[in-house]
Amino acid sequence: MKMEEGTPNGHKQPVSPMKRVLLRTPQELAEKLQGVVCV
Amino acid sequence: MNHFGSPFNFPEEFIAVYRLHPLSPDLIEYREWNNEPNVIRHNVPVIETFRGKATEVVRTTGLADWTVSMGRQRLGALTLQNNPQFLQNLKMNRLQSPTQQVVVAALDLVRDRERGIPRYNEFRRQYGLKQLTSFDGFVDTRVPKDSSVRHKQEQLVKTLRAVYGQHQCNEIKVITKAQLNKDKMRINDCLGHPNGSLIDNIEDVDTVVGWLSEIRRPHGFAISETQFVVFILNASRRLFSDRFLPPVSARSSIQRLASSG
Repeated sequence: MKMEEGTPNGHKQPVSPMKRVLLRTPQELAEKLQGVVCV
Repeated sequence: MNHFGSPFNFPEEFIAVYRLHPLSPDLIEYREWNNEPNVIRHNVPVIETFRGKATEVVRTTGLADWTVSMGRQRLGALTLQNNPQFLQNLKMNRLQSPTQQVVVAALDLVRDRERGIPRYNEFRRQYGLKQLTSFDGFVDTRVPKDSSVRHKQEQLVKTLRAVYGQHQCNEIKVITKAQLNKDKMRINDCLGHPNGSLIDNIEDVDTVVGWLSEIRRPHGFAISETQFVVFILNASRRLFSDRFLPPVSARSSIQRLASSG
């Protein structure tokens, strides 16, 4: 499973399903999506 | 498949609280992901990006712009009088009516009625929630009386009264088996009002109209109390009863698939 870097909310956090789709399809948004993390 | 006394399916009340058309806007604020995304370039009518047109729009403008635009835009509020206009005269070419148009908001009501969803007040009683005894029950009494917000709420109540009307109540008529009054007596047509008095036709309010009228909500809630309890119950139930999600073992999974429709 793809994980977020570090422990954004004190725990290891998987990349959300929607974010995974967005990272795959409009790939140019990868940079903007960096900060989109479940906290 | 039988879970907690009911066969697995989507209960109709789940569908009734999923009628979320007011969330949809009429216009999408179009932004460009790589050209100052804080600036709204133009407004795109949803109706122009609908059905077969969707593919062309995405191909010509790019998925990234749409992701940023739709990711940044807020939803419409789930309240009365907030259905998007494009769903109020939606073209349906297969219809054999003179206009070939439907009002989706009306369709929401008609379908619930056809499928035997109880009207709002009975729906709440069957779910173990408190009934309302008049349209005034929708008003959020915490809002100051002289404020414009309160005035708007009271206006909404007047509209409901004009649409659904009032009647002279008759306490002989028992109207539900779902709950009893506090004194253990059966709930009757008067809903606690004196016999023969003029009361709101609260029992006629359609379920969707009712929960869209729930102005008072728990803090931070986008959805109403009625929706919330239905969602909470069914969200876990549909996972638990889903034959395509792995249960105890693969073998029982295959058996379930083989032995059920």
